[in-house]
Amino acid sequence: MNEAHESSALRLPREIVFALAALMLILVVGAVFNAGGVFFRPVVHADAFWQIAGFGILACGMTIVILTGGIDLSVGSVVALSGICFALMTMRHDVPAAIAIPAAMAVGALCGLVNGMMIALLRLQPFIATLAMMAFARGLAKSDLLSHGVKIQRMPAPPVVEFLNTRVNVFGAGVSIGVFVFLACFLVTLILLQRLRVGRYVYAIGDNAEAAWLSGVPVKRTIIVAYMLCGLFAGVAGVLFTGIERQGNPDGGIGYELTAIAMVVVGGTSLSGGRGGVTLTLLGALTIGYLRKILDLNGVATPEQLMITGGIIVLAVLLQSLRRRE
Amino acid sequence: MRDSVAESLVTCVGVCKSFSGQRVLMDVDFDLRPGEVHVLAGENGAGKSTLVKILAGALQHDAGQVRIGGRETRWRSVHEASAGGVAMIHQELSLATSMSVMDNLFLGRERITVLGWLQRGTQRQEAIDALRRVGLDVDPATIVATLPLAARQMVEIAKALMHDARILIMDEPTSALPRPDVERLFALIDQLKSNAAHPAGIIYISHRMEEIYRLADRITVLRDGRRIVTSDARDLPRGDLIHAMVGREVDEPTRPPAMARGAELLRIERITVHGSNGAMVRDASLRLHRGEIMGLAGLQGSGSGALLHVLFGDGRIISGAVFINGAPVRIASPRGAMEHGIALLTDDRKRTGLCQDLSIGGNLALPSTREYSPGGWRRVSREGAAARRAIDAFRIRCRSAAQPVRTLSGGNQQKVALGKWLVREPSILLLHDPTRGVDVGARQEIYRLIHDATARGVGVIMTSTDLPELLALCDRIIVLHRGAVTAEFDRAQATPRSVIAAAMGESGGTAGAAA
Repeated sequence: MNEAHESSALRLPREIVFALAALMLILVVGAVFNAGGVFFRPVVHADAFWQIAGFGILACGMTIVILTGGIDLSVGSVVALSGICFALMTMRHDVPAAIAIPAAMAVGALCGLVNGMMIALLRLQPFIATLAMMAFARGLAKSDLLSHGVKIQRMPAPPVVEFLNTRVNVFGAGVSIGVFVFLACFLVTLILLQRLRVGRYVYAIGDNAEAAWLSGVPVKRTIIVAYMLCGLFAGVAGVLFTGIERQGNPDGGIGYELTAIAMVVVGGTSLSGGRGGVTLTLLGALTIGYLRKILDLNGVATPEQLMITGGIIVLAVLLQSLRRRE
Repeated sequence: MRDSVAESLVTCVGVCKSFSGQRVLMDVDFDLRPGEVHVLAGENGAGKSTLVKILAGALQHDAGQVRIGGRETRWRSVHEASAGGVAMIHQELSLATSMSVMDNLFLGRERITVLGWLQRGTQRQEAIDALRRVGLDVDPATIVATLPLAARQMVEIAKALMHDARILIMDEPTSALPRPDVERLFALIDQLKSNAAHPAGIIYISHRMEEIYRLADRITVLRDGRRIVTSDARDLPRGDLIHAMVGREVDEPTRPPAMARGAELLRIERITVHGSNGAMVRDASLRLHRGEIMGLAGLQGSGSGALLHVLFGDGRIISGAVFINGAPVRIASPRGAMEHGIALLTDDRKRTGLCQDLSIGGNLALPSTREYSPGGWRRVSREGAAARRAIDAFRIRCRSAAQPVRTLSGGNQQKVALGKWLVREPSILLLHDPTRGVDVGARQEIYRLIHDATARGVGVIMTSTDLPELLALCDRIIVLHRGAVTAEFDRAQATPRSVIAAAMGESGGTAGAAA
C-alpha cells in the first residue's frame, strides 16, 4: 500500500535510475581522470554530444524496432546508401537541399519499408531480413548505379553541407547542428512511443504478439511502420554523416548498427521486446559516447578502447539482469 | 499390514518465506507419508506453489525446518532435489519438445561410456521399461512435440520415476487434460502410492473439488501463507474445505434466474474450419440468443476452441455462413470481429490473453486503443479513468493501475483478461475456459461478471474443462466431437453422463435436439 503513496512525480522508474547511475559513474570517472582539467571545458562536452549525435539518431530508430521484439542490422548500410544519394544530389547534380534532404530520408524509409514487409508479410526473421538488406543496401551504394565505389565530394562544398557543420553557441561552446537533429529525433520517438496510438501497439507486440493480435492490434502494419521509422532515422543519420564528413562514402557506416544496438541495450531496453524506452536509449547513448570521449582524452588507443567498451557493455547488461531478478 | 506409520517422507516445521519483505509463508507445518496423496488446497496466492517449490529445490526457506527422508534438508537447486528423490510435475510442462522422448527421459543424466559416447541401446531399453511403468505405449524415438499433452505428462512422470523419485509433486496436472486421460492419470497415481516395495508420497495441488475428493487421503489448506487445517479427506466435507480456503461462505456456481430467450444474436450455418492438421470444425451449425449462455462441450481436440477462435476472426472459414442479427457477415480478423461486437477471452492468459509486462491499465485499454486515441493521439487521462473504473467494477486486487500484469495472482490476471473485453460492452462474448487455473474466490467473481453481462442482453458462448461448471452455468449445451456437433441439450436434460457420452462420439445423445 505504501508504495502507491510513494509513487509521486518525483519518483523515477527504476530502469531510469539504473541507466542514470551508469551515466553518472562514467562522468565521475571522467571527472577523476580529467586529463589536466580538459574534461571540465564546455567545448569537450559539445564535442562529445557531436560525436554521439549520429549514432544516437540510429539508436532512436533501433529502440522502436527492438521494442517490437525485432532487430535492424541494416542501418549502417542504409546510412551509406542514403548518404551517397544525398551526396550525389547535392554535389553532382546541384539539387536544392529542400529536395535532397527529404529524398535521402525517403531512401532510408524505403529500405525500412522493405525490411518491414519482409518481416511482417513474408514472415522472415528480423535478423535474416535485415542482414539481407545490410548486404543489398551496401552493394547498391557501391554499385555503378550510384557511386562506382568511390567517395563523392566537391570543393567547395555546397551550402547545405556547410550548414550541417554550423555550430550554435551554447554556454560558450559551439554545439553542432547534428546535436539538435538528434534531440529532435529523440523527442519525436519519445512522443511516438508514449503519446501516439502506434506506440502502444509497439509495446504490446513486443510483449506478446499473439495476445496483441487477439486484442485487435494491427500487428503487421505496426511492424512495417516500426522498420520504416528505423530506416527513416538511418536516412537522417546518412545526411548528417555526409554533411559532417563533407563527402559521401560508400564504405561509410560499417558497424554503426552495432554501436546503435549497444546504446539501446546499455540503456536498458530488453532485446526480447516490450520493455524499455527511448529515454533509456538517450542515457545509454550518452554513457557510451562519454566513455569514448573520456578514453580519448586520456590518450587510450583504439584497440584498448574497443576492449574496454566490450567490458562496459557486459557490465551494464549484467547490472540490469540483477535488477530484474530482484 | 506393514509397519505403516513409518518415517514420514517429508516433514516441514515452522517454514517461513518472504519475497522482498512480503511474507508468503508463515510458520507452515506440513508432512507427507509414504503411500498417501496429500492435497494442498488454497486460493491462488495462498502459498501452495511457494511451499512445493521449496521442497523441489526451486526456492529456499528463510526459517523453519524441512526434513526429507528424516534428514534436515536445504536444497540448493532443483537438480539436487531431484537427486534426493523429489520430482515435480509442472503445470507448464518442462520437456524439450523438439527432442525425442528418450532424450528427454535421460536429459542431464545420459548414459555414456568412458569416452563420452551415448549408450543408446541401454538407454532405449531403460526408456521402454520406464514408459511401460506409466502405461504409455509410444516409441522412445518419438519427438515430444508430436505427442498430445496427456502423453507428454506421462513422459514427465516416467522421467521422475526413472530417477527413483519417492516424493512426487503435481501442480494442477489435469488443468489441460481431456477426461479419459485424467482417469488414466488417477489410475497411475493410485498405482504409485500402493506400490508395495516403494510406496511413493504424492503432493497434489488442485482447484477442482471433484478430483480433490477422488484422490486425497489427507488435505492441507493454506490461506494467506498460513496453514489453516490438515485433515483426513473424509473428515473434511466440501463446505468446510471451501470455508477454510476462502475464510467465508461461498456458494457453488449458481444458476442465474431463468431468462426468457431473447432475439437471435448469432447464427452459424454449416461452417467448416481447417487447422494445421485437417478439419477442426465440420459442418457445425448453432444459434445464440440475447441473454443466453451457451456451452460448448467436448474433449481435447473437439474443435470447440477452434470454433471460438474462428468466430473471432482468428482462423479461416472454408465454407458455411455466419449471421449476426440476421445479416450475413464476413469476419476476417479480430479487429473485424470486434467491430461486430464480438469479444474473445482466450484460454491461456500467459500465452494469448495478456501482455505480461504491460501495466494493468495498458492491458485493459489495449483492445480499445483506437477508441482511446482519436486521430492517433492517446488520451492518457481517459485511459486512466477507464482503468480505475474497471478495477473497481471487476474487483481487481492491485496496488495501482500502473503495476505490470505479471505481478498479479492468476485470478486477478483473469479478471483483467476478461475485463478488457467487458469495458467494450460487447454483444457477443466468447469465453474459452474462463476459469482455468483460477481460485474459488475469483471464480465466483467471474461467474458474477458473466451473469451481469447476460442480464444486459449479452449472448455468451463458453467452453470449460470443468464439466460441472458448464452444466451449472449454461442454458444450453452443444456437444462437439472431432469437429462435428453430436448433440444439443437443454439445461434440464444435460447430465454429466449424457454430455460425456456425446463428447466421446456416442450417438443417441441427441435427446435435446427436439427442444
